[in-house]
Amino acid sequence: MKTSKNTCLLAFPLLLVTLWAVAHDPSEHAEKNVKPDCAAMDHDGMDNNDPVMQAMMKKCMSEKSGSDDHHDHDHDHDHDKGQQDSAASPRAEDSPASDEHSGHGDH
Amino acid sequence: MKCVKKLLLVAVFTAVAGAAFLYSGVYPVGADVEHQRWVYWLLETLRERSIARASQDIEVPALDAPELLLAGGPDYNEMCASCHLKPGKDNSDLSIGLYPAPPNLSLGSDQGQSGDDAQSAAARQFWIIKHGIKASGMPAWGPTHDDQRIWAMVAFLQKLPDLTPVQYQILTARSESDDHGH
Ligand code: HEC
Repeated sequence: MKTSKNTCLLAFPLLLVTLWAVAHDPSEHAEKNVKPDCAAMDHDGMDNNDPVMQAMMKKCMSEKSGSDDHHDHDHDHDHDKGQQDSAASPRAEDSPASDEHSGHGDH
Repeated sequence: MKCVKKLLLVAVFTAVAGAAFLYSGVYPVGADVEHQRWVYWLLETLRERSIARASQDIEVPALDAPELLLAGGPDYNEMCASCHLKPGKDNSDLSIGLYPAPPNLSLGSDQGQSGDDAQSAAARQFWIIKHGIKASGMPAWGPTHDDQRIWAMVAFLQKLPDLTPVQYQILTARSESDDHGH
């Protein structure tokens, strides 16, 4: 009798813990769609053999082409579509524009 | 014979005193009270010897590929930076509150950088990330992440002390395109 009561008492905190664990699934709290701040990249004294520089170039290139063929994503990847759609719209509005401007300013 | 008796007495006394200390509860276990220096030394030596032994046969792969930095960067930012900090951030609730304190991995270490030293330092980091460290805040990431992902973080850690905040931001931004493996 006593144990079954205790089990009930346990159930609620357990439920909370489970929810907490779900909320902390890495893919949930991962900050998706953070734009790399490529405009701020320092091109002075850059060394093309430096893996860090290569990685940044790669990142920023893929970011550019990523927004160009961006409609491809929809039929390629049906999963987590809702997330993509909501993420795609603010992106289309502000980010490429600001990138474009600073890009021209530099050259 | 007398000598043996004396030794036995000392041993029994030590054991009883040790048990009394243990059960008395006087040792402070809160994370906001530092260990005695000799206790810290004991624990640190235990940790370092154990890690050195366990990681001695780990083969370190090439860690220079830019792809590794791009894979390890976002993982580090999401899973580690809250404790181990990042360029431009020199403390956090976790870095201040944990004891033993998580080292700031965005500062250079005093470990040697060349040849064998660099290899064993990388093997050590790999082992620590994979297995974690008991009774510290350092979790084992091995049960939930494969070796390749852990090596990518090790690769990122090699570059981390030299990154500026801007470089860090670019390398660690998790963008939509990353998830689709383009
Ligand atoms: C909750 C806080 C916390 C998180 C999150 C965390 N660590 Fe740690 N880490 C620690 C603590 C605390 C230590 C020190 C343990 C000790 O001194 O015994 C440590 C130690 C380390 C060390 C050894 C440092 C050295 O040179 O002595 C490495 C490497 C490391 N962590 C990497 C990582 C990586 C990579 C991640 C992310 C995947 C990570 N840690 C996530 C708390 C954390």
